Amino acid sequence: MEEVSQASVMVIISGLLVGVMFGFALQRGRY
Amino acid sequence: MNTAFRDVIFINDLTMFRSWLIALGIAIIGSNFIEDLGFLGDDGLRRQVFSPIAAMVGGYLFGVGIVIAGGCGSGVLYKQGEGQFAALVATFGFAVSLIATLHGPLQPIMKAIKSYRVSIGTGEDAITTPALWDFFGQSLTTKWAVIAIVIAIIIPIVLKGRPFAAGAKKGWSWSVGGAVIGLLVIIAWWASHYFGGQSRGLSFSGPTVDFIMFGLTGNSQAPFDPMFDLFGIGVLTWSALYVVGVPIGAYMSAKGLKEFKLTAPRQADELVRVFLGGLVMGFGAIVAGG
Repeated sequence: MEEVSQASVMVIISGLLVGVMFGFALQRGRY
Repeated sequence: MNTAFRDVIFINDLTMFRSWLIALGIAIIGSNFIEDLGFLGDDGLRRQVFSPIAAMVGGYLFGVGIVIAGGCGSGVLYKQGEGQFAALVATFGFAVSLIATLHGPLQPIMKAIKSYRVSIGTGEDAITTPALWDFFGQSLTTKWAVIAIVIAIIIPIVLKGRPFAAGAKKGWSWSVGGAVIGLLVIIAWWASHYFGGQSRGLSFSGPTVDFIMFGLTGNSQAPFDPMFDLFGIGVLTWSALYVVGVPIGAYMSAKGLKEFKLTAPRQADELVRVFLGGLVMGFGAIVAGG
């Protein structure tokens, strides 16, 4: 199996944050 | 996306379509700009192969599915954050169909539909993942000339909706919402490359598969995207993380506007309907490559 690197805190936070901002914008924009 | 096109067709209201155009215009300009500046590495915007039949068949089915399900991939996710149980059921149908099409029994049908591809040129120089401007030439000038034409078409349609007029009392006006969504698409292109190891943008079909596969098996099993070990719990893609974030962000917004409310349809057949819509939507999404 291919070597998988450890998820850094920044990887986790940035991924979640993009989703949180997008979800927030979708709700505020009434999509 | 569902709201934008549904309103045009069913109530002849172009407001959300104009909002979508703003997001589209900003995303096209910004993501191509950061690509040209080298912020997306060698992969750039990672354009897909052009399968016109798959795009039409998949796009049509996706369009039918989102109307029946009550939202597109990101739409049903954010509606969960508002407390809508039907959106959770739609997402379940969406996920089942996505995985069955990408990894399961529907895969041969999907591959057959996608088998017809259009390239530009032949041999080693052929462009197998063409952008619109590749049909006219491969220079940067051609690229930005085509983008300028697209934007020139978008602007008068947007301006006709009076984008600078006062917005809704609660929430954002359609123009602000569109601009923010467009900016977030650009940010996602960069962040997916910088943090996720490969540019992927803000798609919701593949990443929903990544998240569900991680949740059920501990492994996103992403065929093309880098994966990360999450504290030994399992491996997942960067994009699977934003799938989790969307309902959380929507919940925060809905709470702030006092709009969060747990709701479920009175009629059971409504749940069957949105589940079936999710199934159609998932197959269409993978076939269209979205």
